[in-house]
Amino acid sequence: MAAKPRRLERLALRLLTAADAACNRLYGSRANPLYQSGTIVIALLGVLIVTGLWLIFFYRVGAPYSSVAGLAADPWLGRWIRGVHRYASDAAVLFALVHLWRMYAQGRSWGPRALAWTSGVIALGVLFVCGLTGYVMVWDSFGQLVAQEGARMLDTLPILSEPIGRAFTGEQELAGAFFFVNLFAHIAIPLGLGLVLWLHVSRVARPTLLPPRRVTWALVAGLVAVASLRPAALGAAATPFQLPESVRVDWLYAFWIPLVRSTSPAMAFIVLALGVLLLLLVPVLTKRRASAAPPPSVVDEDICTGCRQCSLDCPYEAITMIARPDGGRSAEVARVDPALCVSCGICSGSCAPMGVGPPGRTGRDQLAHIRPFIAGLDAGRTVVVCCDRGARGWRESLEEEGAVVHEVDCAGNLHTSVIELLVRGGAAGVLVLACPPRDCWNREGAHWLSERIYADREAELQARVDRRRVRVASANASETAEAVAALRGFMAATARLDHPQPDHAEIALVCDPVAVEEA
Amino acid sequence: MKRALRIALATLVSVGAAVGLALVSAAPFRVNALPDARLRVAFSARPERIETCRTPSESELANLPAHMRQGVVCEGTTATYRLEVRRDDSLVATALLRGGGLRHDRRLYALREFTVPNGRSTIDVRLARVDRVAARPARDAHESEGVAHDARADHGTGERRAEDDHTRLGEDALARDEDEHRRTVADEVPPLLALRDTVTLRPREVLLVTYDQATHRLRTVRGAP
Repeated sequence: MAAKPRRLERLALRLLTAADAACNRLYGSRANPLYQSGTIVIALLGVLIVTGLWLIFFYRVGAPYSSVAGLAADPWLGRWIRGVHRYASDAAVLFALVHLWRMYAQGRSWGPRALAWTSGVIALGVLFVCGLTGYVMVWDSFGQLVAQEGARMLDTLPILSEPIGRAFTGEQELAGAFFFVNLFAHIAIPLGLGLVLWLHVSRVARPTLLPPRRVTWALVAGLVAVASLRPAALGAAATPFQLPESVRVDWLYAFWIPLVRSTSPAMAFIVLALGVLLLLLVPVLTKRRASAAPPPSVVDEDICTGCRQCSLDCPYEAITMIARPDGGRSAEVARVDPALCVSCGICSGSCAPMGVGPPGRTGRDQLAHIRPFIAGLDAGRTVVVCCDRGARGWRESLEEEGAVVHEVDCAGNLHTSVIELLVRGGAAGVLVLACPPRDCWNREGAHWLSERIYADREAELQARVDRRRVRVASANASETAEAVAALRGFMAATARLDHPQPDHAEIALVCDPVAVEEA
Repeated sequence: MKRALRIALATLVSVGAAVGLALVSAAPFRVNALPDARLRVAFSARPERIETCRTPSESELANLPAHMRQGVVCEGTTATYRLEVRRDDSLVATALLRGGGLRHDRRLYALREFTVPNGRSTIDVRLARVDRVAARPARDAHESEGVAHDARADHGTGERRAEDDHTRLGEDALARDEDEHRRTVADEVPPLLALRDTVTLRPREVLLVTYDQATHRLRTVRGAP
């Protein structure tokens, strides 16, 4: 169960949902770049490393500008590899910001996700610093502007008695050592970035690090095309004795320069520092009160068979198996770490005997909720099971089509026994409308559900259930047309089947425990 | 949406996004719209020390490890300077400069920039010590002001003292100390530095005024036209 979004989060979510829907229409949900924002950043970092390694062979700390100018003048490789390097760094910032927006809008910034949020903000900062050192490396008019304005800002800190800015005044020729240190920082910082990114995904199981292959290649092709058609800009050589009238600025990295120039370096520093502080404080600012926060999962040790499935399926590695302290019906028992559990409820769907899940949302609770629903269900109606986020967008449209909508917290929580009860309760069919696979708020919910229905994953949909009456589809909350189309297609398919006969046989709630020897 | 149309639209949007990215990546920004030139005053110099020196007693020295024994112990601060910049005899800026660091005992640094119209200008830059106290009253003056006493400045005032000093610190240590003192003094900025120069500045040219450590003078530096 997601915590109730706040006003700003709601606005961000509305914008995000609309943007997602537009991109889904254009690219399809599997290739939607907004869904892939985080993995695209990683892919772009890969592009940056590969192109950077090539560029480093031609860079000379003793003659920075002329060595880059030589690269820019090479029409075969140098020009476009430099362009790809530069545009990849821009795109990385852009997609990192999209990712940040996405996580904020979806309320994935607090509680156990605070570490991911904080490390993500730090990674973004590191990316900025890395990019800025890259521009200084070139030492053209833009690189000089970045260095001078950055130095002015840093000089407001009362920690250095000698102003850094004096390095760029022309009193002495800028030493090769400066460019060596800058180059070292440009190379060493990404190593630190790797560490931060490891931290970023350290609390998720099976992190998806790269986008689908076709997205990666499309991205690389796009970068190559832009770099070829519009090579990366190279300004005039930096000189301390002549001010440029105009500089071609990369606004994604140098957005702060007008602030320094129009106010004061100290004011710009304060504004930027407050901005960073605000971003770092988002986990605190968005944290829900204990009463409003969804409770973590709990394990009913009397029911747990020690099968380990919940531990395997948990997307956040919040469930571990421990030896039963007092022996008992199985060798092991699941244990939830409340500090890691985000209350996604995936474990509810993964537990065959329905012994784990957030309070009120275990498989048994789901069965208790669905029974009155079935009691009031007219035989032959199609039931759409969808998460409350999606239902907000298209519930009315689906009901107009004649379906009955049953909302759950997340389609990934859905226990297959609920589907079985619905089918055996006389529903013409059960259509589960989940979030698009790459946009599951609980990471792997829709994926595990499909596997339980179609691939016999543990807690599977029983063989006795007619698979023709069950379908899993996906739609974003603002994709009403897609949701309606999926429903129409499913209803047309089930219309060809015999009229369903209700069978109110109970479902067995007892599973065999995993014996000590088996474990 | 038909597949072909969708692909065409997706391509169009992607190309648009890529072009947008390329434009944002190198957008012109007028950093110096006006043709005014810039006068940059940038230098570092060692300020004069204003200090009181005394000769530590034998018992004090005896309490110190051998490597920490000094023939003269000086305490004090550094002088304050006033920087004045004038263009065509009208005051452009004035500022007090002190040595760096919390105790102001480091080198002093100046980094100021002033916008000046391009064309012909007469530039005056002055750096003058403002403290009235004579710098280094004790170390350089023989046994002045009673409490201050400089052992190394006492060469020739009495063999006995010299012998005592040699006994306590050794000749090498005293010579090193003296040498260091001499170098420090030689490195210090004079009480008054002044530069007056008439220059014709090109549009957006930067004229640098800096301090020449070797000649102890202010000088101007310009880039090649």
